[in-house]
Amino acid sequence: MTDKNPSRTAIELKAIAKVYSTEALETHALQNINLRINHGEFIAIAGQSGCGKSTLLSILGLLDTASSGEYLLDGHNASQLSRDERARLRNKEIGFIFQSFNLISDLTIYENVELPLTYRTDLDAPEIEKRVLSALEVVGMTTRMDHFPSQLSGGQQQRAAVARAIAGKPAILLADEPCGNLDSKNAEIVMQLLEKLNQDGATICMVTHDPTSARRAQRYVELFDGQIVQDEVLRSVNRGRNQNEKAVHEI
Amino acid sequence: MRKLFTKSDLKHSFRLLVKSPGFTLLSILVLAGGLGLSVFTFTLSYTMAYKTIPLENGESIVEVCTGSRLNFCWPFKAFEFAQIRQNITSLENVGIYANQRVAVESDDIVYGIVATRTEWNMFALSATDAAQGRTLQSFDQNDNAEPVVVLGHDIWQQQFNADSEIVGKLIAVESIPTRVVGVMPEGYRFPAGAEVWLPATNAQISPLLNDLVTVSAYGRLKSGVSRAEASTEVDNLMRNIRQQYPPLRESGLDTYPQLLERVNTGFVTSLPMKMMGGIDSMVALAIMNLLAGLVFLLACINTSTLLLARTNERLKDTSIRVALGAPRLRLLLQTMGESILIAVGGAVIAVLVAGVSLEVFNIFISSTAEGQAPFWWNFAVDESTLIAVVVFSLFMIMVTSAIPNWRLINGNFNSVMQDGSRGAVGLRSGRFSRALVVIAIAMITLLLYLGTLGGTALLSFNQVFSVVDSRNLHSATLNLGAQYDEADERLQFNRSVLAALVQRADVSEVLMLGSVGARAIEQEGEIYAAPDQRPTVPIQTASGALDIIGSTLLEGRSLSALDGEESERVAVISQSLAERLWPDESAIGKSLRVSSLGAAEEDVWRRVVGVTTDTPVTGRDMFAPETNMVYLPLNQVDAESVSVLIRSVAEPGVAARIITQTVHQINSAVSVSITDWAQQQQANAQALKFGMSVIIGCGAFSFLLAITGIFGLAKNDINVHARDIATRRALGATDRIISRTFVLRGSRQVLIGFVLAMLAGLPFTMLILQAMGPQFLLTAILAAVLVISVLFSTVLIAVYHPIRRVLAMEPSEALKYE
Repeated sequence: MTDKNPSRTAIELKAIAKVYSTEALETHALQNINLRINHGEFIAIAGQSGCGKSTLLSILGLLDTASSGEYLLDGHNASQLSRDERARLRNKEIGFIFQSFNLISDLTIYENVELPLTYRTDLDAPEIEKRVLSALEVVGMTTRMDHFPSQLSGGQQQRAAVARAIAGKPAILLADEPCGNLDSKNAEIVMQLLEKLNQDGATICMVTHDPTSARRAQRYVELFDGQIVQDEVLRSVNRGRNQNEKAVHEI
Repeated sequence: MRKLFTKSDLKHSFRLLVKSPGFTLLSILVLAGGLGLSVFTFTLSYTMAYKTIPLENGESIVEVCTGSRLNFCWPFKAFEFAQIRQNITSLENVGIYANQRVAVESDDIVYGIVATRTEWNMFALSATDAAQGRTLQSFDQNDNAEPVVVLGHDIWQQQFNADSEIVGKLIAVESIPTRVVGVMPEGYRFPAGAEVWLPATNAQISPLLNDLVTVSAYGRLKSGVSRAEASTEVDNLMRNIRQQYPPLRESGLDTYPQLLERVNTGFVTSLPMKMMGGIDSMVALAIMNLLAGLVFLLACINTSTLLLARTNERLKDTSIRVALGAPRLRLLLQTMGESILIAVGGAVIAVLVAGVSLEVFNIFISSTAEGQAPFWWNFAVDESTLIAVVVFSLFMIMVTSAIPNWRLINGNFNSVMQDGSRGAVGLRSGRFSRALVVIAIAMITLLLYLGTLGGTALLSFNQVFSVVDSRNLHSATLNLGAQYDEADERLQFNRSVLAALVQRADVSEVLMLGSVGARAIEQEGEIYAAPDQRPTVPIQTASGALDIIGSTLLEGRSLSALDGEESERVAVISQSLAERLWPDESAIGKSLRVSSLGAAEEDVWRRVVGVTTDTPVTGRDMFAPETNMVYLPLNQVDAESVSVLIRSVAEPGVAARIITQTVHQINSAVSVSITDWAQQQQANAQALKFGMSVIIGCGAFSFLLAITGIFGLAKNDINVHARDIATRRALGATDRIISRTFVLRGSRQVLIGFVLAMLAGLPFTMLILQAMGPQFLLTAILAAVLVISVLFSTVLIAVYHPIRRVLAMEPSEALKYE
């Protein structure tokens, strides 16, 4: 993952399928998914409830494994990785933003943002601190860094979650309904934040069922019954990962 | 008006419990165990110390004491009480009594039996008539009256084979032909553990001013008079008497009648409180109840944690109820439904467990105390127990349900409804849960630590006693009375008894021991800057082999009858004292001087002729061997209290007679109090076995609580944090990092709990160290290390299973887990 050219592929899915089996029935959550995500893209994955959006995002984020098909991350096959290898890739290459924020209630905002960096062995304490403060500044949460999540509004919690996602300078940000639990004002703030990150070079893959949010992406992918039924480029992409890192770093 | 708790709510709670039979059974058993133990100790303490004695107007019967309530109910010097009773107005039916062991002969066997010498009105006070014959009457106390005895029911049954013609027969009491005038009903042992009743002696009822006779006293509160009022009166009278008749001599000697001279206060108390002794016994009872309370609280916390985990699981259901408009109080009762049902189930089982345990305890008491236990010690589930169960159960419901649920009900349900996150409740609930974990661990640690210490102390106690070979070993305390008030006479009497016993063919070993008290000693050649720098050690007079009390001769020789009045002044000392005074060299041949032995012996240097092992059973402390001890020849130094130990080659009953006959051949007026060491040892062994069983039982239950508690807490902690774990994994934490995080978190809680427990256990440790000696410190440290090792291992195992279950899920699945 050294080539940060925007035309280079960040993630490629080939014939991915996901089947959930119980004794009684077999559910095909995803079927024959072929998707290529380039560096610097801002993709919106949309579709009705139960169409497989979140399952797809879980597979993209290495939170789950596909039943069949091939997953290439920066050209490397990630389908057969061990649990620990997947964990390390998630930690370094992928940033998550969840609908329900998933901040750890026992930790302060600073500690939450710091958390993924503490799992890395290549960062020393001053570097971790620098990155955490930078990330909090990007989202405008430095004044709240000693608060616990329960002491913040939903919008503030989601901004903190964004800071946590970008602190590790990942190759791709995965957002699962990032505005789903927010009011319109806070949703707008978060969307602007994502757009800003993308303009600065971040690769973002966002799952949403909100058409307005989806239209703000550069590319629109629609799922129906576990299959891609539409894949449309809304705007062109001209940034790469190096710019993504640079953007976060500068801030 | 809306109902706060409906039948359907109860049915719902019942259904929830039935759905989780494992949880229900575990919760009920944990609570039943904790509550049962608390109810047991409460009933024990209440019956021992506070319950009204089962006699007509039992609440008004009191013991009149000298001393203070905080210390001990001391008997009076007989002369002083004789003066006091003439002026008492708050009490009626006042009388005196004194318990002593007497030799009663039946079928050529002499038994050492607890006799109460008492005034005739004691039977009127207790409102009890004889089952056969009559009780003591006023004329039995006349100077020239025939010696009479009233037998207790058990003695009549066991020693006289329930002879229906016993009344009117003559039996030998202290070798004196005594007529049996009555047999008391079954269970009557007033005032405490009396087995037979004899008329009080003239010396007890009409003593002379300086007699050393002591008596206990009883009375009944007059109508409308409180105990406090009677205490004030007795206290004033006692102080007046001391002003009127000040003690004739002041000395530093530790003999019993002289100790009484230092006490100039008085009070009245109930018979149970008197039996309990002073503040030490009350502290012991309080500690016992505290420990039981800890177990109970721990059980409550364990159940509370289990219930809290269930409440957390159903938080969304509760939120829906809030949204539907359920009033908070009703919601609280609904969420408490399970807790109430579990508490009721636990309480029923606890009462049954406590009832059975109390019955077992009754059997144990009757087998070890041999009828000498106070007659009100009939431990059973009664009204007070049931009230305690209700109070404990309410407390249990409050701790296990009301408090945690109230916190939850006041949480932010909107956020729970919206996304299932723990919202505002999360942080508080998390802190509450962590605080519970630390408290539970601290209590578990304290219980395990104290259990280990207590068990080890009991084992040491057993080891101390097992040093002594108790076979055919009898000891007798000789009460010389007022007739031997000169040291020379006492010495002469002791010599005669010793010589007579040594000559007997049916006696294989004899040791005579006299207690002198603690004295300062001087080492020859040592210069002391001040007199108080001289070491003070217990002094005993002895004649015979000390092996009989477990002190083996290491060097030199024992003291014997050959160490006569005119012989060289010699001494035998204990090993520890020898090493302390003459380290790295033999003490034999060295000299020491003992102070305050009387004018003739004051400046005499004594040559050390023998060194023995430290004395295991004659020390002032029950558990610790006496490390410093000096033995002086019995023929050379006067001791006010003397006991004789013999090992006979005859039957046990005959052995007791050997002593009484020998003593009474010399002087029939000397009272002999006999102890059968084998019997005593057996009683000790039984008490030890029972004590160990109780400690092992409590320890096992505490350990079970510890295991279930730590497992429950760890499971709850991990369940509550399942989404956090998933989030961490999503952020790149490996399985090892997650496991390490939770093990470290558990370890941190163990450490905090351990430190808290050690701080709380410090006073207990100090108490045990004081009782067992500083050498027990290593045991205490080992106990602490053992406990923390057990806890750490338990935490590791407890974290392993639930964390494995959570880690087995894919992170995407775990993120949806609630």
